[in-house]
Amino acid sequence: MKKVAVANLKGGVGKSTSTLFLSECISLYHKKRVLVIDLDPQSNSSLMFLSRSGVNEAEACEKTFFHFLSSYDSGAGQTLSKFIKVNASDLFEIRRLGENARLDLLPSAPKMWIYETEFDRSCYKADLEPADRLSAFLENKLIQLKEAYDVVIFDCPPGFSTLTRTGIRLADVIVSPTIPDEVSVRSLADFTEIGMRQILRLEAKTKHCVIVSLMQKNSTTRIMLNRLREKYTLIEPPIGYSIDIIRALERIRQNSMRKFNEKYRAKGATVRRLAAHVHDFVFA
Amino acid sequence: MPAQIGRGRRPRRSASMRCHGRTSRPWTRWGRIRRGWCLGGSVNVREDLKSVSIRYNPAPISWVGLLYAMAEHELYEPVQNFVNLRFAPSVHPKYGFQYSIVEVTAKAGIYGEGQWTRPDLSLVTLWRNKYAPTLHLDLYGFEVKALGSASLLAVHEALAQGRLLHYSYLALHVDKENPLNSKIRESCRSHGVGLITFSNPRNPDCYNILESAQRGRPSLNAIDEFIESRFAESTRRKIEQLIRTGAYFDEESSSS
Repeated sequence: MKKVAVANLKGGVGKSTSTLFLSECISLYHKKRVLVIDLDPQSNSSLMFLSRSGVNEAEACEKTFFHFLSSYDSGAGQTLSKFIKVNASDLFEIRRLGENARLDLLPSAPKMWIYETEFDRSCYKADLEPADRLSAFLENKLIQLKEAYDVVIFDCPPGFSTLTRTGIRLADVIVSPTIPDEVSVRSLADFTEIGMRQILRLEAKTKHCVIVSLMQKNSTTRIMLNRLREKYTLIEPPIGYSIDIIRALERIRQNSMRKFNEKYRAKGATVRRLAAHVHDFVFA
Repeated sequence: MPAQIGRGRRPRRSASMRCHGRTSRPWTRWGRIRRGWCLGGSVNVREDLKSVSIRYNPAPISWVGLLYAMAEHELYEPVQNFVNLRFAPSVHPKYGFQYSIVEVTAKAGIYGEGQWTRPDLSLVTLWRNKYAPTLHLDLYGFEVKALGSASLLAVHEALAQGRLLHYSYLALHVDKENPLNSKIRESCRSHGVGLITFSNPRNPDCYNILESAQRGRPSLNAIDEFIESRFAESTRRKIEQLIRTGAYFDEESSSS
């Protein structure tokens, strides 16, 4: 089982968007069983996968990451599978593949903001590192599903919170989506230098790559892309910002389904090519 | 049922343990029945039937099969994962709603309430369709058997548990190299017991549903009793809450 963290210090760079299309393409075109774990309390990727009513239903049925973490506190020792929403994608083709490819989701809930603060407080009181405790617990639970999934993708919240650190600690590969502008590139440098090397002290075995998933063409784009190519493992092609991508991110109803070409339209080929390169990087 | 003691008197299901003992003791003395034990409790088995069910020659286990061998209680967690990830979604209504929860019930329930009344795992599903919005509740029981312990007695155990459940399944860990004894499958089919086999317990895609269980008709009191005595309090509270709301959620705002 390969674990991938989609993480960056800066918000609005396309982490949830990348999680959505990477998971769908890896599942559909590379026949992999994918589990997406939404660690972000904003629940953006959960909303993209399940729609608003789907997230409400998951919350009402107590099938979210928040409820899974609550079971940690109560010591109930629940299995992770209990909280997973099966067949989360709205792509017809993935459903049609049956057991050869799957895309399941462990949805998030906004209540996780509160939980995270409480959890941090209790850990620091006991002189423990919260991310260490949480990652050990989650890793232990993921071992049970080792043969059920080929890839686990963590959609990390922006910043360097406990949940982000947990996702990064567990990951074999870190994918950092970014925007080729001055601010985002500087933020990415802080993420790798301060966050990954100094705070987490990640070893060299953790692979790191950068993708550009929301690019707006302007005079500085080419310069910034060159700078990214020099400094990081930049996986291309970049995905331009367009109305097709915005439409792809929206699932209107919980049971609505569509085909890959209907979902990504003109951006379908680019998205597929980028996901294929990321897949090769992860499994290399 | 293997608990049948011959042509004459037969202990009723509702009989107390004392009454049951008084009935079965003479038969034990005459050597017609013997006391056998399993996880679900004890049972009196007719000697001639026992020779078929227990002493039948199990298929040899290959080295590959032994790699995946696990004790019965260790199998509960992987089977639970299968039920959560594959089985429960397979019974989900296409457009409606379903709340499902599976719990380990091998040791749950009241002691002495009857023989073979504790399935190893129990699944409760509360579901409704989109345009036929009546709430339904279904109970599924799973009797798990470890590698090399499949027998006709296990089928009868699952069958006996079926009196408290809507659907009763037997989940057998089998060796990939050696086929399952056909008598077991035939017996499951004839009794309406569902049959699930798996060669690698940890992989939910290795599970095969060979026979689907036929729907039983447990009494409504039995269903209440089963949920009340076997499921966790939080689960029961959740079920009650969903029944109260009719399992409808606000589309716009968060409902919890």
